[in-house]
Amino acid sequence: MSDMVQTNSQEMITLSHISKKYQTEPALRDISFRVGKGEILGFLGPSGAGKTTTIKILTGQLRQTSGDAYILGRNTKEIDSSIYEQIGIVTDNSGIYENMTVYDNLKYFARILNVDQGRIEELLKRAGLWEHRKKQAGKLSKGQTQRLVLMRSVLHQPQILFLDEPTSGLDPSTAQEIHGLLKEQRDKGMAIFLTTHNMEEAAKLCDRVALLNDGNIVEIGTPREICLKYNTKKHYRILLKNQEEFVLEHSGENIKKIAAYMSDGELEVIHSCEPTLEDVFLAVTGRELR
Amino acid sequence: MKICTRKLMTVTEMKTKALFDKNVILIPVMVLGITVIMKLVYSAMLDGKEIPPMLLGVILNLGLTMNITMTGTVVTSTLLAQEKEKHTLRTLMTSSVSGVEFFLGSMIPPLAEIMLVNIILIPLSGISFAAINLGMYVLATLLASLTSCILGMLVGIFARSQMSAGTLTTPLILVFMLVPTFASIVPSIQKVSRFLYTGVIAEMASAYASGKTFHMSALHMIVLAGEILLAFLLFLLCYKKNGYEKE
Repeated sequence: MSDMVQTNSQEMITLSHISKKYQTEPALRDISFRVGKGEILGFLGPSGAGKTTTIKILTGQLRQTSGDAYILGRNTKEIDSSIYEQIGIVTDNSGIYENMTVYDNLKYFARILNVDQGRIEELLKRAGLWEHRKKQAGKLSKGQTQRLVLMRSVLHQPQILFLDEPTSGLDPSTAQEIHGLLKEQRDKGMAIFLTTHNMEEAAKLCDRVALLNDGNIVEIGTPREICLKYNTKKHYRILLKNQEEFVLEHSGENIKKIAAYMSDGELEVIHSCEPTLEDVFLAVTGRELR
Repeated sequence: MKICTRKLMTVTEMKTKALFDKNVILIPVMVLGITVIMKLVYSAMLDGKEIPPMLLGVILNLGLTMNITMTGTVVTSTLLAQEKEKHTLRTLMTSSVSGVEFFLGSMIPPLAEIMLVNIILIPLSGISFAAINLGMYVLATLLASLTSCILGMLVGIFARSQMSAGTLTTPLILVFMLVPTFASIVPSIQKVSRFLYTGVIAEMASAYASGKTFHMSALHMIVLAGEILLAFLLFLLCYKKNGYEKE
């Protein structure tokens, strides 16, 4: 067994040299990474990069072509439906029973997962859906529906939560609310594996991100580490009080200029221009994250 | 193969609720309605005279084969297709419900519904309970209904939407409902009908309607048990290959 496959109690997810081919088309090529307890790992990549395939392999819904995947220390080739008692899954098309009430949507899953019914009230209140509990779930707005789906996925306090584009198509305030809920779960020790093509979301929410392109991980690390690694041509965006705006490269001469603007009180705004995750992705792959 | 009673009961309750969906409840209601209409039509044709046993047999036969075939296949396949259409199937299956628990939970409510309608059809078609060996009637219709429900689940694997479930069940309905219905009129069809599970039911309905005792022959038993087995093996084969969702 290679070093990558040895898991410890803090490791929730381990992927070792995973490849997946659909017929002859490769979807994943030799992917390896780990996710620890209380960590949010963002899997960043454009549509078709292999994000959903990775989730399906990890949750036992799809078999890899080669390599080993471990979830909670168990090989995904050997897991059965009981693993879902310890993990939660949210995808952008996770369904709800539209004809049932909001409360019943959680009630039946609470029964399946042997969860105390009292937790339903707690979660509905946390998600701001308690006053809608008697409403038909099909009548909820998209944001409310996504919150209901998220609450259903954490009903049984899973050790790992898989989120496939959880805020896709949601308004910024609902997305922010969902981010808050996820951070709360992370702080309680839940490992979160999140796929997104929204680099802003990844930068805000994730402890580490992996950039995926054509089935390869091209970069992995904290958002700051990755951005700083590619911050090779340092420059500063300057706005002076007279509204003059320009960019200065990092050099001894320009540093003196900036110091002079500051001491003369002419400087209004200064920004260091390190690359965003999207810039890094573009630099590494030559394509955009959309 | 472990079955968790709690999960099975929950899926069964969810599916029982789904039986009252407007697209689904319509089928048994229609079966009962058509049986009543058939009886009224025959009664009108005979100027209010007593309907002869042969025609009562036709009414019961039509009601039974329609219920067993249509409710059995359409309800089970539609409920499965509905779960796919609304993206709840994957949610349920990734909430620790096993394939067996889902299969049994999906079969029990429609099966119970069909059996209830099968019993109601006796007085509705104008046949006295006294003329029927209820134990034999329940056993034969239960086995036949079970075959239909398994076939419905089989169709459900391939149906992506409720509409496609309806389309895919049509050939099954045509064969298993119409062949026994026309068997009493066309002798060549009767030869085929004898080998269909709904054909056995049709023979039983005619026997009871004309006041005869229905004896289950070896052929009847082979047909009823064999077709359950065949349907189940087919289902298993397709399930192993595709799961509940053919991608």
